[in-house]
Amino acid sequence: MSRVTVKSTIRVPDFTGVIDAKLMHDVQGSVIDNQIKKLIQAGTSPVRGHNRFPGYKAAATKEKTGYPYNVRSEFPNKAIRPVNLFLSGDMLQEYVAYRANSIKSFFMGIRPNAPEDVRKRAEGNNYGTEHVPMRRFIPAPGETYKVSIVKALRDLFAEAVQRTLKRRGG
Amino acid sequence: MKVLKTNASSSKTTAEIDPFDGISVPASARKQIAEVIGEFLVEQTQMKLGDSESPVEGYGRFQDLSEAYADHKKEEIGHDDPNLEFSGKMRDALTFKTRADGTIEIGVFGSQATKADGHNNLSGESRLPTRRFIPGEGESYDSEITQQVEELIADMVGEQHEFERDDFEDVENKSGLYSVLTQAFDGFTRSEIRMAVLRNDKLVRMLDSLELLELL
Repeated sequence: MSRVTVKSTIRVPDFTGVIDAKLMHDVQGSVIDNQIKKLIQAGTSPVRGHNRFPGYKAAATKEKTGYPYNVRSEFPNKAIRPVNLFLSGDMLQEYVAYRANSIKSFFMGIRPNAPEDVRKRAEGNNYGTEHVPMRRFIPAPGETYKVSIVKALRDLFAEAVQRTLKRRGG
Repeated sequence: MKVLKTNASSSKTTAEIDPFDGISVPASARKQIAEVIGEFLVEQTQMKLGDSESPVEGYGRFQDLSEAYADHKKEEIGHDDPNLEFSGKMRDALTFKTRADGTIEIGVFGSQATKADGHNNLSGESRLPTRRFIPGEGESYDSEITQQVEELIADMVGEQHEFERDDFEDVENKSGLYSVLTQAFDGFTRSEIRMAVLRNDKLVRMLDSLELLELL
């Protein structure tokens, strides 16, 4: 299949001035760090329609060789369960909210200028490869985030609307 | 939200929940709203379990594992967190079903049900330390989860109601505005209605175009 960049477009309420710096800061903290990454840490996809991440193939074998057993000497904190897309942390560190050239939307996903190997790993996990099962952590086109995440976004949009009203003297 | 009954058998360990207890919701909308609430409750439960905490009010953080089991888990899995995950099969099996009347049955169905009751002890027969992730009768989800469920219901009730610009043509003050809004948000407080409106893009735009948004 053709590769798409690992990001999701979030459309904000059609209300002038809603995308301010505070909203972007809060999206990073309240939504990405406190909801999306928490679900991922719990071994659960943050994308609606996807459930818990498939286990490591090596864990189902008697020999227990292969990933992640073969990296535990270098990364002793790498656990077999839950499957949480975390090894060094460099991929999830690049999971951010960032502005688009639009007043109506912003992106959530892997930073566009993240290192190339991080972007490749993110795509591999998100869409699956010959050797890696799909572990969707950024919505593909046509997909959305889970209910908890959409709720958290709508809560922040409501706060942003209130700020806009205050600026207007409402 | 109210737990109506619990089930603990070899085929399911579940709680049957009425998410609309005390809230007026049209019968035609209940099942659709319950589907969303069921998803939300499963997500929140998985997040709490990831932190080795109960999503049920009054239970807090799970008791640490026994020394022997902790050592075994650390050796095999790489940590000894009491997060109810070793193979992952039980947590993978956490799910929900809904009925036409909007009742949600949440828990573990199938082969992992016995293991789930081992932790939840809904049967009263488990000898393991109780690590409740399915509420029992008379119990509830924690206050944060419960509040968010009520907000989700308010949001969806508001979305189901097709407000028209004409509905607001006689509104001249705050009281008049809430009188109209209450037609959809029956049983909700003004504060709850206000936030549900602010979370509703279409309503915000409509009220703003009518110069009524500031009355909220």
